[in-house]
Amino acid sequence: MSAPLSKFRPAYVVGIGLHRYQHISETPYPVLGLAAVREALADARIEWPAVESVYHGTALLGMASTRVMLRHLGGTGIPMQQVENASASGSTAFRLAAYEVATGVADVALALGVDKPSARPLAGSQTGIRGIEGGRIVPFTHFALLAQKYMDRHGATPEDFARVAVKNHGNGAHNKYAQRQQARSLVDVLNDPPISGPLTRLQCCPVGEGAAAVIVASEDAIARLGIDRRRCVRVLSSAQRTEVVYAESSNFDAELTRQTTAQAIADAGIAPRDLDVIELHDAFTVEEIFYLEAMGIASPGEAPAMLKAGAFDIGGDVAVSPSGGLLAMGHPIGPTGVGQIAEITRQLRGEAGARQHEGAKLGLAHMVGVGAVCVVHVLGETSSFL
Amino acid sequence: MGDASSEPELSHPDLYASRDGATVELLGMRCAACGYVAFPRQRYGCEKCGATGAALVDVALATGGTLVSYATVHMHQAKNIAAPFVIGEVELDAGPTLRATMVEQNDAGLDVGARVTGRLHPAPAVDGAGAKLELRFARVAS
Repeated sequence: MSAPLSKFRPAYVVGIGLHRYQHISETPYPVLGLAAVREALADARIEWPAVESVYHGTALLGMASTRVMLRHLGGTGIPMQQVENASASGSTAFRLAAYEVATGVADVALALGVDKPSARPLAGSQTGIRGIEGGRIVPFTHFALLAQKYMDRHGATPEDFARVAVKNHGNGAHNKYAQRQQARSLVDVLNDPPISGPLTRLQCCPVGEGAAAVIVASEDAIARLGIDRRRCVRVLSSAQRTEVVYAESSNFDAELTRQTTAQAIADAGIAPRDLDVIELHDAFTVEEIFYLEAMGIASPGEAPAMLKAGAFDIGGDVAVSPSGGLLAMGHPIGPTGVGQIAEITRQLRGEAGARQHEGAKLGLAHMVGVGAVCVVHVLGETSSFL
Repeated sequence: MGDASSEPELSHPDLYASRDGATVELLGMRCAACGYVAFPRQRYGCEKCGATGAALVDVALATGGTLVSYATVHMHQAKNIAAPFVIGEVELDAGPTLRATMVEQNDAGLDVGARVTGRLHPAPAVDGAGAKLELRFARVAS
């Protein structure tokens, strides 16, 4: 029998750090990762030797990337490992760090994500089972097909999807860590070069490089290290699932999201509409619509109207992708899921500045990954817990 | 099976076969344990119930089906794939849903709910290789 996080002792996010997500460059990856880790340590006001364990979410750096980077913090001999779970690599690293602290294996664990894009083929292309598409269906066409189906079913329009990009680019314009920091109008998004189906370039996330770091600690460690309790955010639940055969097979990510989110929400003891902030896998605009409906934030077919009415804006019913999401903040793969936790922590602390969703108390982070896999976390501000 | 000497080669003879040189069939499988019908066929184990060995039965699937979505692809990163082209998502009468390139060069005549069927269509030439036929889908004239 598997056990939810809530069966164990509380685990808290106590420090966050990022290196800006950016277009791929000649910058060696340790420069990215060390900047994020040092910023997270400074944010928690603790020193590197306090960290007891490292889970490094990375999909594209290659074998054995962690120790050769983190040795430059001064070797302490602690366990370190890479965690590869496609786009959910960072989310999975965070989950493992949270479980390690909650179960008492460690008092302080670091979840890290560092990546640089590469052209390495997916293992799925090497299973010996081929498809008939001949490489013609890449992710943006998968989502273009799902978008067309949604338009046909619900009478939605290309403008409905483009509004997701307008909102998220607007949020990213206030985020110094975002790869894209420019607000865009509906006309900008719609007139951008067409990619596939209704999707234009600005409706597809940039895959660049970057780093994100989150330090997870127990109450014992918070007391022992003198960490500021007011800036700690509790990990209320963690859920991870994989795809099965669904009745509606093509939007498997939405079905997987429905199940995984339901589990995370139930384990956290909340309802979907209690959430104040959501960071979700908006690699393509249409995904935000699909997943908000799958999560129970909007009824089927209703997300576009709620979006248009401002329900998902910062200051709306629930701020969705206040960081800018994958669309604007960017999707460097390994860091993305860890960066979501950093943004939710910033929001729940009330430290998000121009992006602050006032009164944010509960946040949800969601990533899906090729495979397909899904990881969802619910975080809560701590005034009611500590 | 068609007479190989009189027909161009197929791009993926492991995935589909031509019958009498006229109709094309998908090489699928059916799980005798749970009834799940899948394409393409494989021998690793049923994706739904895990059955393996003799439970995995080869079946040929007719290509008739319903178009449930489509997308015109305006750009593609791969240099050997020329855009634009149209991808269709087809719910086969035989069970599985699959995605394939459409014979149609634009989506003007395509509607969700349209009847479609598989056709063997000349594949884009690949550096010096002889002409091959690949499976595409096309709207059935009503």
